Amino acid sequence: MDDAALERDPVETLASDFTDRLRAGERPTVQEYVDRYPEVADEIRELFPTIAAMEGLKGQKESRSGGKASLGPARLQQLGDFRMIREIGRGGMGIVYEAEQLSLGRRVAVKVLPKQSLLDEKHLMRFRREAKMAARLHHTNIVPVLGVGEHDGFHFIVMQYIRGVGLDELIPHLADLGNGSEAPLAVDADKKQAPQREARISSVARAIFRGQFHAPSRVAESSIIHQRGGFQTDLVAESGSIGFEVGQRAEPADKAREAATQSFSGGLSAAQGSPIPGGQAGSDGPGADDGPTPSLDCDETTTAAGDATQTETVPFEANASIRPNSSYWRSVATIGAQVASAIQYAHEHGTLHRDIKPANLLIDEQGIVWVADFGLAKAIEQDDVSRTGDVVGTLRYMAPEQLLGHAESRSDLFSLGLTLYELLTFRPAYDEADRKKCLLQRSTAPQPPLPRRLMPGVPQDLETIVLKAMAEEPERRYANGAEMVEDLERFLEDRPILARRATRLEHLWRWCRRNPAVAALSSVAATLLVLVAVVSTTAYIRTANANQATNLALEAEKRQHDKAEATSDLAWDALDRIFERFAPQSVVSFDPLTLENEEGDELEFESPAVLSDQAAALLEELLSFYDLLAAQGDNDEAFQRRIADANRRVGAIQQRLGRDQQATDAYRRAIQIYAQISEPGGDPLVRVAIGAIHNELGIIYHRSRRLSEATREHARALWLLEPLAARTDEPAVRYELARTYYLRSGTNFRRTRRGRPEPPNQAGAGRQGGPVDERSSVVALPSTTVPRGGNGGARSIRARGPIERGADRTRSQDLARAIELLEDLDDTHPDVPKYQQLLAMTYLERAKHVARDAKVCQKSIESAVEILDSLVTQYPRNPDFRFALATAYSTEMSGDRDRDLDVRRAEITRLHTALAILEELRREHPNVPEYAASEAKVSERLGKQYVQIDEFDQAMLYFEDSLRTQGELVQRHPEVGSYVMRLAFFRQQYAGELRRQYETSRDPLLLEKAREQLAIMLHHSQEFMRSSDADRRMKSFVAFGVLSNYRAVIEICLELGDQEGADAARLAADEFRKEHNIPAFGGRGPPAGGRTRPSEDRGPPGRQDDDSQSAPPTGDDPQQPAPRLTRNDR
Amino acid sequence: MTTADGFTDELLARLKDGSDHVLADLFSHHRERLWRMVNFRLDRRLAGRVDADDVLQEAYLAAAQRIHHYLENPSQSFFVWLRLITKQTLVDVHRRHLGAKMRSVGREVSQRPGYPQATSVSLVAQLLGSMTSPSQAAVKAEMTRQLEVAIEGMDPIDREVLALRHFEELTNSEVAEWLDIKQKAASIRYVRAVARLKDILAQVPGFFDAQERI
Repeated sequence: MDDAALERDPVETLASDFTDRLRAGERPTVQEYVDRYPEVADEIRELFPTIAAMEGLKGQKESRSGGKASLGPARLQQLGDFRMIREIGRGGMGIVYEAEQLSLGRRVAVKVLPKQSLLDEKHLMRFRREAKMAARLHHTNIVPVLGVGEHDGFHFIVMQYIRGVGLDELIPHLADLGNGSEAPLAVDADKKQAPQREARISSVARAIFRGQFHAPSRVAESSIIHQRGGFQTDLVAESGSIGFEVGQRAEPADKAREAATQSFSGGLSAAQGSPIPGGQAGSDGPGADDGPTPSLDCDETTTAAGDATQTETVPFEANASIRPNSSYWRSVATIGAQVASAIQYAHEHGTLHRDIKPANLLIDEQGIVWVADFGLAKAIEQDDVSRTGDVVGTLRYMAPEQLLGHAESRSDLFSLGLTLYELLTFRPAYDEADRKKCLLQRSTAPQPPLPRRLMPGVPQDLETIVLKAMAEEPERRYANGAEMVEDLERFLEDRPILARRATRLEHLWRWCRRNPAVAALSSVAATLLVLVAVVSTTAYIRTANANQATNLALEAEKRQHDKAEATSDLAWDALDRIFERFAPQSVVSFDPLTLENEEGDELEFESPAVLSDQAAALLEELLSFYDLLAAQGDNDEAFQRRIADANRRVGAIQQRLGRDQQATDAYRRAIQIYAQISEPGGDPLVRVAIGAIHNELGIIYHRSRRLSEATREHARALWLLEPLAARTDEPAVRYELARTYYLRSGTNFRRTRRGRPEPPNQAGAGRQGGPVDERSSVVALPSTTVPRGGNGGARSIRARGPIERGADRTRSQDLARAIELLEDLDDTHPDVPKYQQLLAMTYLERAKHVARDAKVCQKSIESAVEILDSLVTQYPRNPDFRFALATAYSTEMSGDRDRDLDVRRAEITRLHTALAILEELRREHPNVPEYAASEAKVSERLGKQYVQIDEFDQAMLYFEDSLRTQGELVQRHPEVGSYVMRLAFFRQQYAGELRRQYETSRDPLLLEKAREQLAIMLHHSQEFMRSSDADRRMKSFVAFGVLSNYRAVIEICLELGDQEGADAARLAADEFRKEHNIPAFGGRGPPAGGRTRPSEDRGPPGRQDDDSQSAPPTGDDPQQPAPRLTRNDR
Repeated sequence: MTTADGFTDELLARLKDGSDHVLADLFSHHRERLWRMVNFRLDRRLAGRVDADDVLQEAYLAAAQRIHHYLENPSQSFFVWLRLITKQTLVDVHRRHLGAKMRSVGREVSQRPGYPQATSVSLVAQLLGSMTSPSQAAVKAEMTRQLEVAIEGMDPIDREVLALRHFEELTNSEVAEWLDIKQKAASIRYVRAVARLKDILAQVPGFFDAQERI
């Protein structure tokens, strides 16, 4: 303490003292200080527990940095009688050293535990007890525990030193061998392995790979009785240490090992005998590596599984490779049998391992597997608040029930199953991060792929055994280690195994049902799935029909029937899940592209539901299944409903594939069959199904702009569902009813149009310097933007006729009813995501509907966000919810048209949130076009928002982002007209923005850029015009766009003083007119665009997003209303 | 500049005589605390690739190269200087392994201003690190979030003081030197910071309960 100490806060001085004592290992109490320094008692009481907590936590953290044990800052040289020679490895629980026991002059392995792991007497007791139990295990395949000790506060366990290699280290080598690549030294380079150790690892790996370790036959017999000799424990060391005697070890174990050794050396010498061209570096290591190590190079032609002769006499050929073959699979089985027998033995002696994993399985040079750390997981466990690092470190191999805290004997077998899986496939069954996530979300992990899918050569029986061991439910695993040993030996002896082959099919189903990422389903798996489903289901139908026809109700046939029914239920269920995964939700709102001409005619182009190729292919597969099913005769009454279901599915798939006519036909058939089986007072769900199909039909009509037919379909649904809802509480009824209202509100949706640019005199106003005046700017230039919907004033409501007003009212009512129903449903059935999602969508719809009423609009959006946010929290993996949330964030909150900066900033924040979600979605699902389309739109809107707050640099970035994203989309789906058009608009918008910016900054670069964008746009538009399958109406609009953009280009050229460019553009425009037969001036619209006829001389049509009002880019005749291209999220 | 430790003074004197192993002795004398600093501040993303020992090894070499600079002008105590060297080494290591991603660590390069993020994230990790077990994982995620928010709200210097005192085991005078404040100020800050932290932790449901069970 120096002088400065006098000035220190007295409490701080006490705290220092307290801390020092804690660090010295004392256990000072808070009370002690309180008593001694009553004048600061309150502060002590206040502060010291926190200080103690921090110190305690520090220890915790240090003891397991990075998931591995660490002894903290200290470095160990010696612990009592044990001199540490080198560190062998680190696990979650401790650090293992190779050490010399000085008093006996023998080599041992010492596992030192971090100081913090045994803090109190209770833990210490348990540690001793468990270690004692472990020391009683004497088995050929269990690393013997020799004793425990304590020195300097470090607790340690002494074990026999095994000159072996952990499977975790071997697996990468085996994988290299299996992949035919040879990079043995590179694998663990960063672990600074000594070269000879590395050589030993690769030599063991090779021996395993070649099946040279098939030595210990009948492991189960040889092992259990054997005790190991020569390791009498007389570990009584330091004061305070504990030791215990380990009973006499008898001979036989050595014999077993001898036998193993012989067989091993036989194997190895055969390999050694081979000449090795360019052979491996020799090794000065002990044991096996005295000679040159066996070469990896073998003839590829010996790959075929089952070729047993190749094992030891493979012809060597440089740079050729081998694949895992029967010898390797047999090695894996041998390893599995040894471990399983060790597990069985330990279980019989009341000890669970709890932490079986590759790192705990050592293979010595005789090919014997040694299971290390038996029972130690338990010994070191610390109640609930348990070993961070350890749990993390071995999560990957833990059985599901163990994750929940109940380990049982079959948990060890599960872990062994995972280990063997890894040996078969060279990759872990579970990703650790995945496992962790599952744990957090309390969900089941997706099933790992079948081993034979990853590694086709794996023998089927072996796969069956491994899958059985690692079954999710303990009941489906081997009941004990002995059974597993039995099966593995049967496999090794080529006898039929006992595990049911059927588990494979079950496994497939289970996998399909559980795997949340069916999206990742490969086409092979999908085809297989569909095939199985078709076979099993049609088999069921056949039996069903046969039964009826012959009227035979024999017991056996009934059983057969039941079985077929069960299988087909399973298949049906699995397929439904796939369907739901792939088919976009029907809740999703429309996103039409609307074109409007000066007469107020509007043309809407619905964006078709664009599927990724993969999804489309899969749906086609499914279609074949449902088609087959739908075509079945309907003589079995009980089966009619399923046939109706199948027809409905066919309709749904066709609808998703964009084949409206086929979809309609199938839907109609489904309705017909449902109607036959529907009876008054019958199952309300049948009626719900009919109603739902009418709604789907409504959606189809809506998409093709047949609004009155759409309305009619929804009315039919209402007619069915409303009375039903009156007499039943069935949530499905209320949900479908709400959905009907929601959908019908869409058909009555009349866009609250923005006012026309009536006051033409504002045209030239621009927006330089002035406050943001949307109206004038909108008129002045084509690409001014205001996000859609919200820009209050600018979106003045056009005078509307009584019909429109009526529709508006209906829409309000429908939305209100839907919301009422859904809020109610949400109250009574709070946990159904589907209900919540529809409720959120309905809120959003209301927000758009009441866009003028800022308050209600804002509230609606907030409610939607809240619901979706909690859905996303609950189901973080569900892309639909995240997408909906992004939609909610990007739904514009209406505001006054002279919105201030803060409002705009808030809007920008929301758009950024939406964008972040969409970017993430797109990263995860790069093939879903909707996500990309949305992302492009949101980027573009962000650009516009930044323009509004005069941050043009930012705006440019987002405009360019949107162009890039949309460009990629168009590249992938060139057939989707609306994508192409939207890209064109984005470019035009951007060009307009650049030009407007030029007005302010006079930077010619901006004009150059604008010209470039227009040029690209013109190029693409003309291509689009030439494509044969594009929508004619769309073409007519594009044609006008092209002309107006030529005009813009001409102007830019003139402004830049590029006369030549201007002339060229004029020429090109003329050519374009000729090509598409558009009269030069004073003419009417192009022949193709029957409904739209803006005349060129009155002003070329500008076009833009619906958010902005259009004006010709030239500004030469801004008074003239031009056809506007609007986009609206209905 | 005097050090609190005569032992070090003597070694320092020998160091000036210029023998190599003296530095090694000195370094190992401070090794524990340096190790703690590195362990505490090592980016979690590097776990498994680099450990504290690796960093210290490198820091030692750096110290050996630059020791004469220190001896020419020992304006700081030797430990604080070593800590600085180690810190720079750590930053280099981060930069090497994380490249552009290392912003949050990078901001901590300079001695004084801006400790932000790095310290608070590490603090949260320290405070909750012990609580992961399968049964607590879900709770932990929520706690982490709460704690992060709360600790983010603390005064950055308070945060740093806590980290230095408890996780790096600096004394009050070393903290004062490192932060370039008076010892008195350092001690007051420390007491205040503990009080703040206590308030924060008290809001985390079950935090103190959990601690008691350890």
